[in-house]
Amino acid sequence: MQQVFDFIRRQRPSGTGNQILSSGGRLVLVLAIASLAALGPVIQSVQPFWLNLLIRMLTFALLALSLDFIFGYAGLLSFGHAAMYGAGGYVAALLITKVTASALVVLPAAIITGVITAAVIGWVSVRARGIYFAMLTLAFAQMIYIIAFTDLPAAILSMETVTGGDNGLYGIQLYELFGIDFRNRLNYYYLTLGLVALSLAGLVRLANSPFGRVLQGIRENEGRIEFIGYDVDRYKVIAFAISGGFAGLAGGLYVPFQSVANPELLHWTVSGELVVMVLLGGMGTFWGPMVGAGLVVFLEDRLGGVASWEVILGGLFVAVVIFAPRGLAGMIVAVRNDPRAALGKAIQALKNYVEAVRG
Amino acid sequence: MIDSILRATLLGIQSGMTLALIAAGLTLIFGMLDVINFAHGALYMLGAYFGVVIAAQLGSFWLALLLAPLVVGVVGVAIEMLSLRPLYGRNPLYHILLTFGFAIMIQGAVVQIWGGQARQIPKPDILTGTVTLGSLDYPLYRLFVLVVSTLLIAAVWLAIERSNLGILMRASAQDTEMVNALGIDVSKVFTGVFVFGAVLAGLAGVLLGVSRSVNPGMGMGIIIEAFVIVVIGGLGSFRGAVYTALLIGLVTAYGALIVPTLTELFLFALMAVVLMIKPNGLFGTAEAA
Amino acid sequence: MSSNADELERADVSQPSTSSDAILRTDGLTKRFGPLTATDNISLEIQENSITSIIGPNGAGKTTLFNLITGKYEPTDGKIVFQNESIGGKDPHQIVRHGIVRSFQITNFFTELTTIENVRLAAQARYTGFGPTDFLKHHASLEEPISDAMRVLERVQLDDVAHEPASNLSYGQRRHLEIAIALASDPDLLLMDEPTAGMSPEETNETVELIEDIATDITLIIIEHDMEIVMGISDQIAVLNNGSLLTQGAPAEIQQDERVQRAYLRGGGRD
Repeated sequence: MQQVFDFIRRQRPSGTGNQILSSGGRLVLVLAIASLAALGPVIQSVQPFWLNLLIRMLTFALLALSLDFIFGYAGLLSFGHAAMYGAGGYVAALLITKVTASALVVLPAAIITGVITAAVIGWVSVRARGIYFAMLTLAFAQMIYIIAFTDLPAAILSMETVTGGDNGLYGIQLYELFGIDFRNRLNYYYLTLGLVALSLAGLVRLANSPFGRVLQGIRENEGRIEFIGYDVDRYKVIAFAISGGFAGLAGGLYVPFQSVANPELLHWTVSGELVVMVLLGGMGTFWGPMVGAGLVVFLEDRLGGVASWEVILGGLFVAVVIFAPRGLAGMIVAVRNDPRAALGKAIQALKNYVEAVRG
Repeated sequence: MIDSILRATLLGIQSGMTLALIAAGLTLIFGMLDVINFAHGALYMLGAYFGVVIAAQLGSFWLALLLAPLVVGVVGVAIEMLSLRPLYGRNPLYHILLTFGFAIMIQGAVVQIWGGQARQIPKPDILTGTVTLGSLDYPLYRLFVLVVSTLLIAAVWLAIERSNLGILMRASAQDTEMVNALGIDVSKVFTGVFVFGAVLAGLAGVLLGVSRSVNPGMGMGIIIEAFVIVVIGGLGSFRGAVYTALLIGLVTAYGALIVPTLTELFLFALMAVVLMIKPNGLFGTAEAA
Repeated sequence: MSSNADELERADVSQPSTSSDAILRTDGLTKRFGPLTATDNISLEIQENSITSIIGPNGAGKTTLFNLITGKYEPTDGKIVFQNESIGGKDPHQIVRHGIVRSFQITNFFTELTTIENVRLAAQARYTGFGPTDFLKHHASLEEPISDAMRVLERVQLDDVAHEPASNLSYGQRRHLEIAIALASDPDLLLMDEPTAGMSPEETNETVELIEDIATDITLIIIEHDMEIVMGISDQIAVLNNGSLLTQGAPAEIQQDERVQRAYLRGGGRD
């Protein structure tokens, strides 16, 4: 228990030898998920459209979580996460239209697609360091985008269409699962909420496992980890593959809901926006990026009409990178722990900034 | 047949040289400042938009060509001094994120100010029409862009290799402390390099704003191409950027004749291969030039 | 020091002896970086349970030698044989599995983690791989790495700061943490890179005592500049200069060796 209080007092959200989420934090999360679940029927009766928005928020939260696991927690920046997301989505679309709409088949398939895509990209890219790894993921994601956009598989297999080209695949129907009618948005909401909650629980578990601890070590000091006996490349590939699986799941949830799978899913701007969400939310905290993603999707929906939305988002992002690199979660944790110290640090940061600019 | 090849060659060289203007700035900024400037495409776009405005207000393409890049330079100063300078100590990944944020901001601002419609900078009368080369009729303006871009690249090349300024730049990249100890304010050199890159990008924006459409998506569109060039050529290598830009310009032009869709795929595959096998790029990063 | 010091044959640069007591042997070990030769045809033998000090001016190739043994560099030429297995060119993590571990000259651990977590992580490497439990169990439920870590921390006298963030430790404590992390991997051979660098006399004495304690069950190779320490604790001293092995022998021999005096001990003592 003492360790738990020590942890809460620490500024860096990811802990030092302790769990990634304190029992206090876990309690909050459980309550949050429970409230979301309870609110479902309420929202449906008041304003059903909001359920659609929530489902989208949850899907991106899952995607952001997958990126945070590999970037915030393991320290590997990926600028191509859209690849696993889109691949999972496309596979789901293809399976639903051509084979079966059973969620028990398609969702695992989407996950596996994400895992395999990430495993392949990871395996060839992992020797590259830092920026170069990020650029490699970008390059591969763009290649997959082009393949979908130009429907290369159709050309190779001499079929009329596989990916649907620049229009993509549409008219994707919803899942079949134990006879549940997913046209009732509430049901799809619960499905998404449930899977996202399970994913979060799973990744937290993973982060605290012996495997996850090594990842944390890789983030802290990659050089040293090798010299204490760990095969760093292998850990990285496996972590990347796991991250890809969750991204693929997000794609598998998103596509039938939108009933469309198009190349936009794979575009690098999606990957870029994901990185923004993770950083804004607070990298390495798991819950921070999820909240960040939900927030961005929500604001985009509400303010998207307002042309200056991008300026605000971009400006906010720039400000966070300069002044609050630990993001929203970092700020919340710092203020909750010691408000006065947090204020002091903020003022000091401002002073340092002005000095640095003056040069 | 020969006509198509000749046309494609000219087109390839021209687009290659203009791409070089953009890529050169990007690679120099990395070589000097260790910053991957994701906002470089946005700066190029700003050059085009400023060009549209100035050409409309002052009625002259030439004034636009002269002034718009300078305005972009001012934007560059603001970005460098207000956001990059305070972050120089940090992990380089932050710079990518920071400049990416600016790219988003600038794109939003462009839509906000000028709307989403496509525009163009009007071609100056002197440069309208075609030139007859053998049996080929080639647009005069494109030829003009080719010549201007090539001259500019050559000038920059000479400046970097020969002039005192160039030596100073390279020295600052290699040993910041030493240069500081010599009494030169390195932070000003850094700002200068960033602005220089911005101006080049803005210039390319004006030049291409005549023949291509000026729209809010052009920034994001060009930055990826610029990355491909800079990575393959070698982050930090001016020479590499120029050669590769030329190569890619030609490959794209010829590829358009044969199998357009696969060209882009091929280029990304090449980028991946370079990153995997020789991350320093085809021309290495031994020196900043 | 150890009774073996007098009985060991002096390692001849051109003819490596094949004593069966040798835990580590290098044979013509060479590393070139382009035109630069960092280590040149080094053949030396390390006896089991001995303390061998590597001395030499800066740039003599001492750290390169360590990097070659630990797998950071691949030899351009020559062999490295450890416990009768050839290890030259293997990956660093494989070499750790063989039983060769290194501590670093500069602070090189996990600053955001606690002291004990630093060590536990190193200990964990001996128990885990990629089995299902490694993904699903909570790391704290694995008892052996934790108890191993506590034992090591007690040995280096850091057990009272076990739950401090590593960044809070004093300089001397950090150097001991470096050693603790290396010990947690349960090495047969420990390479220590300037373990007493920058220490106060008191801290130095503590560290020397620690080294002597470690030497009772682990073979040590130490890069060290402090001649007093070198002469005091070494069974063997290997002298490097310009990438080559000048000579290897017991402290007394080295002290009287003219070549060594000319190349290195000129004016008596360094640093």
